[in-house]
Amino acid sequence: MSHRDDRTDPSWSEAQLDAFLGPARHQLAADIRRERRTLSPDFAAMIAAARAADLVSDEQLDEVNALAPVVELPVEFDEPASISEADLELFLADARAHIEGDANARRLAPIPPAPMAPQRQDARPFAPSPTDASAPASGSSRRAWLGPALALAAVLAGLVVVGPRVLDAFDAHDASATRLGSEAEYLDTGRGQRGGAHRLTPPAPPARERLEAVDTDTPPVSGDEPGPEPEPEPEPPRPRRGKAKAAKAAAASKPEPAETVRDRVKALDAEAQALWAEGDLEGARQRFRTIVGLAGKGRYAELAYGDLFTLARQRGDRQGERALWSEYLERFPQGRFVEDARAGLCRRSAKDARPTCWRSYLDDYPEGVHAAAAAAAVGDP
Amino acid sequence: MERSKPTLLRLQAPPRSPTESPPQVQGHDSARDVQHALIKRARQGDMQAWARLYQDHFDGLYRHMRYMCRDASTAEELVQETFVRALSSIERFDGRAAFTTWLHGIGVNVARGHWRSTQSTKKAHAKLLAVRDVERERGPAPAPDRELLAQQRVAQLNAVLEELPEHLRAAFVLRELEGLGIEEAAAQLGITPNNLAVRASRARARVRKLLAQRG
Repeated sequence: MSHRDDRTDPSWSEAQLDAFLGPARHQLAADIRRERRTLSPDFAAMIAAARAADLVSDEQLDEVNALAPVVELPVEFDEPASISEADLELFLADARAHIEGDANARRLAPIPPAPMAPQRQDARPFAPSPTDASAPASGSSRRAWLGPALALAAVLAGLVVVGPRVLDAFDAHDASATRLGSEAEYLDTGRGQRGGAHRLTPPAPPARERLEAVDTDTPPVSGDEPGPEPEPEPEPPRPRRGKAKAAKAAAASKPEPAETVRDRVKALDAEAQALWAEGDLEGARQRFRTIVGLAGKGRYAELAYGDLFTLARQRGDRQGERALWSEYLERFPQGRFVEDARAGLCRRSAKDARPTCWRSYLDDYPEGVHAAAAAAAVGDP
Repeated sequence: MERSKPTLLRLQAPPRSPTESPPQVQGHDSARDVQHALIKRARQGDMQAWARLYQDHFDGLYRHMRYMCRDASTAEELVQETFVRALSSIERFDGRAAFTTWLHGIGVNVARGHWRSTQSTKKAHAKLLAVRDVERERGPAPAPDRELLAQQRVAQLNAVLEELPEHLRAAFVLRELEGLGIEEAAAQLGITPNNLAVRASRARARVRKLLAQRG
């Protein structure tokens, strides 16, 4: 076959062909990308052609012509070797989810008890502050300097009154660290072993780190009294290394968030479509709204806006439609629905502001889809 | 009057029958389920579903068609024609292959029809000679512009492709230019992967020979 041909006729080698095809392929892809900018996909024209071939009915043709708003299709093209736009969106969604997962993991990172307790104890006698007055037993610390007896009495009183709370507080702190630590271990090993058997006791951080932690992140604590009861939020400071390590471990061993965001957006879109099909416009609207919130500036968010526009129109929510256009323009200043959103806003603007609005549109889109309407509105021929 | 450019293409789904349950979609299946739902509606003549399918597949189909023909406007026409044919034959889509595969397969047939209608060996030779003449006139540039060179290669390639038999040309375009895998390319052409591999190999051999003939 080809080998016989090779012997009888002059022929390029495979390597020569590959060397030739590479640049040609690249050039073709570049040409296609460039051409795509000037393309104007026209669904109605296709349906009209189908109508001419008697493949669709007049009613269907009317239905197509009634579709609104008028929207340019996206100008998105890739080389064959590159990932598709949809894949890029998913990749970005994954990246966002990883970041969110990382943030979550940081919140889950174990709280090392070691740096806190000694620091509090050390700080008390030497760092009284005006805020002490509000502490439950701050009076006892003030009286301590009056005399050993009073001091002793105060300390005893403090221990009796405040001691249990101190212990509770530290117990709670340790319990939290243990719980979170075991969570981290669970994530890390995948074995799911929980409970107090595994208590994370990272090495004490350097003194500077401890000081930073106390100085910057904890409420002021002084005197013999503990501060207010530890609140679950915000969390006490944690050494950076431990935090980063735990976050990394949790993020590495917990890929679910990346899947979750991507899948959630898709599932929401499907749910929205289904609800819409059932006539539950509000339900569909809520789903698209959630997509808009989840998908950032990605394609899914933009398409969800397109659906929200249509839903608002279906619901007769003119005010909502206007708000959506404005919101969309802010988020997607170069988006695919920009012309329509701007035209919509111009149509709905106050009568005296309308010509200015349309003029601005014409300046930006002299050949735009709504250029004729704009020209008519500003009185241009 | 505003220019007519009606290409909105997000859906306003029609009311669903009370007995028809909404798609239960989760995870990776959601996109596929949406697609199935769209196709089901498209089969019923729902124009909004078609609008969505058109929107979702236009870009990919355009690229597909563009690799099979020489210029943008022809590719655009062929895309429209492909959608019209899809519209008329959606009943035959059985869902065994992906909708994209099916649609692009129709595109290949549309492109073949286009090749048949425009191509003859004589014409192709004439084009080939014309390209050669242009290059000879230009002469060997001392430092040829890279893009110009690449464009010449594309012209050369197109001329060579027009000399290939349809079945080899299609295989070559799908495999070598679009970079499709054997399975996908075979599915689009409606042949077995083995057959596709043979065709692609023959196409390469033919292209090498034609390029060598050009000097």
